[in-house]
Amino acid sequence: MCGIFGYTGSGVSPDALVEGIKRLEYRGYDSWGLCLAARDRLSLVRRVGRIGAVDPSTLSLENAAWPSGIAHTRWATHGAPTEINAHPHADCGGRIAVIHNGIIENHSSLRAGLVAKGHTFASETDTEVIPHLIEEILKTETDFPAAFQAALRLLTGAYGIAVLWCGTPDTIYVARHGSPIVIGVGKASTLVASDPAPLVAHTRDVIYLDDGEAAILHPDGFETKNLEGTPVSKRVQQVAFSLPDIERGGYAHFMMKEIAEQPESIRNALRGRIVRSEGTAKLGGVGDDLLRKVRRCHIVACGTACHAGMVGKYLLEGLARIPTQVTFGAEFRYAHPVLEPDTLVIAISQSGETADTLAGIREARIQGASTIGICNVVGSTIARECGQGIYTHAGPEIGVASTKAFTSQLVVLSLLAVHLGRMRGMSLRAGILFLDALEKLPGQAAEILAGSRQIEAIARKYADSRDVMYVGRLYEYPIALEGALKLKEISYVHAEGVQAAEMKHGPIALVQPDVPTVVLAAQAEIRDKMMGNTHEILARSGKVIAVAQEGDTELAALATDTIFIPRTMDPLIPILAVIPLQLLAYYVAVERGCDVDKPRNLAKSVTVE
Amino acid sequence: MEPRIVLFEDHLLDDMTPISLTRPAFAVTCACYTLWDVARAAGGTVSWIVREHLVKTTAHQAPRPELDSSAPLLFLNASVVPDIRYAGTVRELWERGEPFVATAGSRVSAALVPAGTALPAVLTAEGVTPWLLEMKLPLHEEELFRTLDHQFEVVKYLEPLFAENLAHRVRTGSYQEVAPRVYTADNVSVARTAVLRTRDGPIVFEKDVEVADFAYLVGPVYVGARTRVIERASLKEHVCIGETCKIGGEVEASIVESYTNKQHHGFLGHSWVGSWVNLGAGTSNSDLKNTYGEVRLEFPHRRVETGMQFLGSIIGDYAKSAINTSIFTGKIIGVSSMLYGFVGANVPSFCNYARSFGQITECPVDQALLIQKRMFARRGITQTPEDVALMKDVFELTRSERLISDEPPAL
Repeated sequence: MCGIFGYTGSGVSPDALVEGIKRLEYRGYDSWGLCLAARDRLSLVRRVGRIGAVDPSTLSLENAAWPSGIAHTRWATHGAPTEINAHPHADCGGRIAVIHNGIIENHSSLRAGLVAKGHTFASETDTEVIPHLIEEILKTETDFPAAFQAALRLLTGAYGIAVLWCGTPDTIYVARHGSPIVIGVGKASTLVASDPAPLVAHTRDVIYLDDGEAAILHPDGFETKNLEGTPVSKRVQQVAFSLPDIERGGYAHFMMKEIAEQPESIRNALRGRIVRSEGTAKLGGVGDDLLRKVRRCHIVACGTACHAGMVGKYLLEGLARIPTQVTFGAEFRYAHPVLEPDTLVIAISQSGETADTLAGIREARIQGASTIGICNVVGSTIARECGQGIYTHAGPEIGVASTKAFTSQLVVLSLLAVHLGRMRGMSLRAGILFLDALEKLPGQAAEILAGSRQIEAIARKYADSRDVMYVGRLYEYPIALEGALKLKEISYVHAEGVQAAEMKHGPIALVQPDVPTVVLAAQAEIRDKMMGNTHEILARSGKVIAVAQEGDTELAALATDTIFIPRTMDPLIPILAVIPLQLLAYYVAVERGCDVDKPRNLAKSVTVE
Repeated sequence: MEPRIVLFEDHLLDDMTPISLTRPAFAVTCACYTLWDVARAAGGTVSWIVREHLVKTTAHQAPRPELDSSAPLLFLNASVVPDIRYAGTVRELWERGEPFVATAGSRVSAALVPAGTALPAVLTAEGVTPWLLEMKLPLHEEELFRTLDHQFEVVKYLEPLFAENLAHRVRTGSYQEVAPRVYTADNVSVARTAVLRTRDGPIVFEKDVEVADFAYLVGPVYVGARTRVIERASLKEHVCIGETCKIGGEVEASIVESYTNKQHHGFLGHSWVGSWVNLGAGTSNSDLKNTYGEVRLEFPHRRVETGMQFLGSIIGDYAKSAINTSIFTGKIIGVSSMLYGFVGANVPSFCNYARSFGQITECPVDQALLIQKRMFARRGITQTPEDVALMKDVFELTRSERLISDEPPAL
């Protein structure tokens, strides 16, 4: 996720552009840049770090009126957050500048073709192919809008793009496919942004582009077309939200916004990584030579990421038949781990800065093990020190309680497991079935979110509980732990995640009428066992909130309350089953009046041991 | 309407070396049929997609109707086991007309592409499987077809397929039953002193076969047209000989492709021998380990468990053996290689393997071509530019095989 902002018409200046992308900083903040256009000249500035503290007068740019400008705040996906990789990116001739939000999936093949035709690339980004592609097309196409449209037709993946060309310095060319684009219609200016946040200072009249649409912005208006060049008529809408509302996407809290973003973040974690033609996954950041020699895996992580790691153990053992161990980051160094040269240590951390996990991979490297990182923040310390890894592409996570980063970690672990599995005898058919099930997850996550009202009602019913139990087996056991953790951290209700079969070895003594139990019973393989647990809890006058696969009417008839999730394969159930638990925790916290985004005593990234 | 079948090779043929180096996977004989025969038996038209280096020589031997999706197309992997019972399955799947894609292990075994599907301008052997999978046709719940994934499986499937395949030949061919379960086509000559045992399976001779004095055959046995079974030859159970061969000595549970000579004494058991091979007098292979254990194939950096107690040799086209060559259990002999003495390791293609005398050298492709020309001339065949090009391509394709061999040749 990145933020883009563009402005043509009266009042364009470095100050105005900087002010614009400051409003988008919550969308990405590892680097930023801007470009101003004049006749036959583009002036470009790029910097690493947050834009918040920047004084525009220090940018060596004339703070006068310019015909147009674009600005970008970056959340790195391809290439570390460096000045070279920051947007805007330009063509060889320095006449075209592009800012982009999204992922160009076919950038490698486009880049190879353009390099073969003599183009020189400056960055490691996927975005840089766009200005070079337009430049190449302009060799045979004299009309810039036509060249822009032709370039768009060659891109696959997701993009929200704004382009400046110094041949028409008062014009901005924009397009959308999968990443949002909003056009602001001012009196003597036209603007573009990733969302309305930077627009409301200039106008409340906006137009939302749909996928497959492009627009040409002039100071006095705009024209919208589809990718084939056919004009499209768009309706002007009024922005009714306040600025904080816009930043939270209209949600009351970042946590809820991030829960709701999961269909998109899951899609982004999968994007460009499914190779159905081979029944496997493509993980560009991890070499197959390394993966082929792996005989054991050791996952190191903390908190929610450790719960993802526990699911990862089942995935790696079940799909790839690789013995896997999971250890808390803080324990790893002191537990004298047995690491052989063919052990792969997998560090999982949203921020990539978690101190205990970082210390763990340093220890692993000292012992000669190979390490890979599963991180959300590109260029973070863990990502860099591991050398190889897989980014989750979940976008910035602001809420302290991790939600979308967790499901993205699970998606990445699933991709890793199927890839390792296919290297170790998993059949093509099994691989394809798994990939097809993975591809359905974004839609299925959206189905669960559509049922939020029911979960909110259940949350209200149990919001006064002092203790809550969460029980599950196999793939759902880590989800029981994660559900309990979510409830604890944001609603301050005591909650315990228990392996369901262990209930009778102690925890069942806690069951009482006012201690509800969340029973995770969606897995087909152990569903009957979970029915047994449900009976045991009900027999002791406990209340059961069941999370079941849709259509399980038998369990629904038994449980006090039931939340259905769509049908999927057992190994993928954690990705769906955790969403109702995130919602449950969220609504309980709201009902109890807790500060959801800033829970007491907690920090987003734990960078101390 | 008649079925439209497309036999396609995929990108997973390395483990079929050396058998598939010189022929499409659908032209590998197993139990007296190739997959081409099976597809023809399903009726309708059969087209094909093979690796680039085989296109011209294949076109000489098999018609190739243009691919046209005005009717459904049944894509069948060229590595599907040539089991004649699959002819019925293929026909039934095509007639049912329901689009599907079926897998076998790591490969696509078959797919029914619906009528009207836009076909890519060029479909290559590497491109078919990705194209079929990217179409997202419904995944068939059953495996449907087994595939030949390793060279040794040609021998593995020989016995299970023999009875049905041979029975189908007898049912559909023009033969006379000259003795109980002995079937002959036209102009077959069997010496009075030959002994033919058919208690455990039939014996089938194609036209112009000659069986010399004192030959001893135990069915099931299939002998292709114009082949000569030499005096005192012993062909025992599950033996499948191609056309224009000369077969002597002892042969058991083996496939010999066309134009190959094994004229003299010596044992060949549980083996596949390619075309234009000459096994010198006294050449024998072992097909059973002294431990009576499972035969394993040894390759650089890996070992393959065959699951077979009996496995002899896989001998590529144009290979030659000197007198008294002894080939150890489960050895793979490459195309155009020459063997001398004891052969205790796999032999890459285009090698002079004389380990017993301290020498392993590369056999130049020009020499291989000269030998090919001489052999062809003896059978009245003219060496074509396509034959030359194929030999040169295979020489290049196997260059790395020679370099990474356990015993690389001195170049």
